[in-house]
Amino acid sequence: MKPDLDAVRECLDSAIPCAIATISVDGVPNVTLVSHAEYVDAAHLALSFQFFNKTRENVLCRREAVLYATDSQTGASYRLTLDYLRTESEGPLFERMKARLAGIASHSSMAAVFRLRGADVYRVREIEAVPGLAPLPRPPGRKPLAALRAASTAIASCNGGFEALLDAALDALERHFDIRHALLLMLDVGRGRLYAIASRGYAESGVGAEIALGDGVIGVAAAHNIPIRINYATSEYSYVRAAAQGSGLPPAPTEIAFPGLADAESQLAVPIVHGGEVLGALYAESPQQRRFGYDDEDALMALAAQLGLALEQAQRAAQQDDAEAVADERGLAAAPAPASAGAPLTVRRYRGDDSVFLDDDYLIKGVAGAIIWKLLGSWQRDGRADFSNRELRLDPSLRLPEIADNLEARLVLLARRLAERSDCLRIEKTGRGRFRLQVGRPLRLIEVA
Amino acid sequence: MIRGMGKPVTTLTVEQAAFIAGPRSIYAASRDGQMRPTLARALGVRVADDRRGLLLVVHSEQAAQLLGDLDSHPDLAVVINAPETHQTLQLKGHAVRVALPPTETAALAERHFETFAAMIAPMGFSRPLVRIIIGGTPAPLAAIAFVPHTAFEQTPGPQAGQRIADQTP
Repeated sequence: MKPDLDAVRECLDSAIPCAIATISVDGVPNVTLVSHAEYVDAAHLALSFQFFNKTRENVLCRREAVLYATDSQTGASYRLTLDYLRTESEGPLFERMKARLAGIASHSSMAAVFRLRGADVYRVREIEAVPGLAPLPRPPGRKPLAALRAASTAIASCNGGFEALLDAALDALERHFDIRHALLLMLDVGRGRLYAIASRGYAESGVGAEIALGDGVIGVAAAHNIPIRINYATSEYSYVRAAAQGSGLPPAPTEIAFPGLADAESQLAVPIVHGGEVLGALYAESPQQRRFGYDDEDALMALAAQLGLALEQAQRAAQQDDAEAVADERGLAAAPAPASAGAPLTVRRYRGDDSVFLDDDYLIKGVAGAIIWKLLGSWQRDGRADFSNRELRLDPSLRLPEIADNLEARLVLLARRLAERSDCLRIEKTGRGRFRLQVGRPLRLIEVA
Repeated sequence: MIRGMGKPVTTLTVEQAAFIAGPRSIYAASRDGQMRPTLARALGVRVADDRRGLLLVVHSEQAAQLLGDLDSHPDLAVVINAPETHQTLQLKGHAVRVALPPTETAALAERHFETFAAMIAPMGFSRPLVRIIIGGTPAPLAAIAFVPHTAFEQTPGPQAGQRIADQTP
């Protein structure tokens, strides 16, 4: 029978390291432990190559090895006969293993010495269940396919548009996967940064927090369009720890703190993709070690694919609405904004990065900053409170990309930041492609070069 | 204990012997006539009084191929690993199957199980699980007399290349 690594892949994710046996050119056996074995597909796995050693010398010479892998939940053990194929020293598999190894290295106090040189890829020629063992039954746990079905149904049933989909996805993760700490991020392609747009399970929502492509598990997942999963805490991939250790300098005033857990052990980031393009990332974490397995990774990848399609459709539907709303647009300008009273709110906009401050508090920057500045200007100058998405799309000063402008995401981001950071400014949807600005205090607008 | 094996070229240090006695996680690897490797877990170990050899206990079904290999090729490699510290020692040498009373192999395996299970319990491994991993179904246990010729420190990191003796309390 053709070997099926899918059936035994839990062994590769085991708390028990694998052992590997090879034979030297002169026929001497060699046996050692493997830092990390990575499932590639049903017929291939990869072993971490960190050091030049006898195992590697033997493998390069004879191209054959036998791996002994044990499932740390059931005790089931397997001997896998492997044929060495190649070493990858860059690319998705390499990045994935590098992140995994960082967790393992940190967990085993080897952070200073484990450096991935390459991912050694092997074809699995044969899998033998070690006889003479009576494995324990697998402990009862979640059924990932059932959870995926329920979560998938929740997303498919959501008809509330872009923002409702974000909440439906995070609700489904919590309800069906018991994932209590999660974050959704969208990619700003032009700036090469991901921004948090929705979250669950944190004291501060962190909406608006940014991560550079390639930075940490989320940045690597989005940059390489691959799932990244870490089973043990590692400062190398921890946003919160990295921030705490930091450079010693105070954070930039336009930085929104990443909301993640300080004591996260398990991290899982999957890209949200549509049409081959990364739209964003879904991130889950837990203070528990080894919380996410291959099945969780599969389920979240499938869910993220569905979410990518749904978000893209919602975005397109919104654009269609905008086009249809054009006939009413003239009426918008006539709608008088209600007068506001109280102490004036000083709003500063820095032209360089479109960052906007409410009194001395940072609100938002980039496209969302440019949008709120435009709205407040119209309100102040023309007394307008009602706006259309379409006029934002057509406004060159907002510097929205022509394709995939992601306006819906930026409006959600802006609305959520206002709700969190301001007692007197709100934007709310008033219809298809329409929204209203609410201003509760007089404004003082200052533009800074 | 280990006889008929030729003159050993290595005498383990006191510290190496203590490290091996552990309890440790132990695998043994052999090869067949086509230079194909195999490996199996050792379920028990005893270092000879003169520190020139080890007695390894393996499960006759789990290690069937390894035992078959040893009938025609004495080459054996043994890796000894401390799960809690990741210290690792590899020994290479020659081995042969020996006949021991079942009570003696069973006693060695049971002692190994008890000490190993106690050691890794704090890491979250239950006794029933450890019984599976370094035990197995009721079946005859086999004994292997092993004479190491060379010893290698394999702990990854700055301590690589040092002797185990330098690190074992």
